[in-house]
Amino acid sequence: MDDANVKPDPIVSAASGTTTDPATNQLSQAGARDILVFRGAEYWPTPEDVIREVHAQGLSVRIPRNQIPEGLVHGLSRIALGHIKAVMTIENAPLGAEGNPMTAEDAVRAAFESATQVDGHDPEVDAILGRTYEHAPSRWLEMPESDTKREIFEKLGVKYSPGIFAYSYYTGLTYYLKPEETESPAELAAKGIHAVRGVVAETGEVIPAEDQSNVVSEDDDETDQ
Amino acid sequence: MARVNACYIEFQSSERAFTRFQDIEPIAGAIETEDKPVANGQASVETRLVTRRGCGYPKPGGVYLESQGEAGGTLPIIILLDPPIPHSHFHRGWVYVDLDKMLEQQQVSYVGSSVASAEEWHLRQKYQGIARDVFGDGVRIKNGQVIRFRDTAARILTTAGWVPGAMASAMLAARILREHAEELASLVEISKKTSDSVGK
Repeated sequence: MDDANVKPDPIVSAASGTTTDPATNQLSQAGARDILVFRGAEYWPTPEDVIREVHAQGLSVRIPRNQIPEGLVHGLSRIALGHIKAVMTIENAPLGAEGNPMTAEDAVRAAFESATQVDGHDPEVDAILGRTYEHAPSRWLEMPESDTKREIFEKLGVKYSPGIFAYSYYTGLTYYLKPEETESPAELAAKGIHAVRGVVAETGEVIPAEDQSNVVSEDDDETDQ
Repeated sequence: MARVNACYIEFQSSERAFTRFQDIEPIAGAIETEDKPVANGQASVETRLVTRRGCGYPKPGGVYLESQGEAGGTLPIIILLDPPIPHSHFHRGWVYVDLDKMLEQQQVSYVGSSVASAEEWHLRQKYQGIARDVFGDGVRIKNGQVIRFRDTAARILTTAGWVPGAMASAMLAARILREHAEELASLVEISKKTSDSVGK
């Protein structure tokens, strides 16, 4: 998909009512604009995948070059990160020890731990149960597919829905030069967009423009939604 | 051309909370920021080693929005929200949002190792400008004192009967706070050069 054809979506969220139209020029408390981007589940199956990547490599989000956000301030503007499976809920919450409905996280964990005792220990399941997750619901998404998992999800009525799970502070806009280019296009340079020559770390070669085996448009990752 | 010094004032009382964003003219002693000059209208080209991400390698000809943190963790690279904020729409591309409002409505707490630095960073950006208006160039709100600085400034302004308003109101706020600078002094660090000028 050509990024130029991807339009920003100034939809006002019925749930939050806090998405703003670009024309309204709304500022955050710090005097800068914040934006929201979603990470596609095809390339980042869970929010935890996004978190791991950002910790390791920082955040980099491709945007349409004819729709550059305005009003972003280095170190003040925030990039909210959304994922289609950010929020986990359960429809059939069991009662806890004190007779109150268990939280979704506690209920699912209890079910998996109980299943482990009945079905025996699966090293993969044990590893996931023991792993640290910064986005807790991702743990259950990363559990290997099995009859046990399906039964637990069905019995508890586990549902995942879109949400915002993190944010990062904006530090800049970058234009990746095509091999034949020596500077960024004038209209982008005029907006202060930083020109970068991307070199593949593993090979030391400049990223080829037409090598589609290596180059995947993030704009294409939304087709799974 | 110097930018207008943007100053944000927020304070809360037990009965109500209100916020205000105001642009006020540069005043003596306040830091003015300027856009960085770009040689010949064109920034230099950076060569960057890139590794594969979930979506592959960056696409030549593509524009990327970035968050790379800052050296030493002074700018956290990611802040996690717990619980996540439900959002009914999946958006292609990007949209502007009022993140402060979202966080307030959903009563989201922060999690992760960067909690303190994130909150400290964000709050400091809001109130550092006020500190400069009061004490001049070179002042810095002490670590861990940002919230106390905000609350003390709010109390001073409330006691003085100040209400948010137009630019003149913001100038008045700065003057009121200067007159009560001694109440804020213990919350900031001031260079000798600056402190000499404050008393004049």
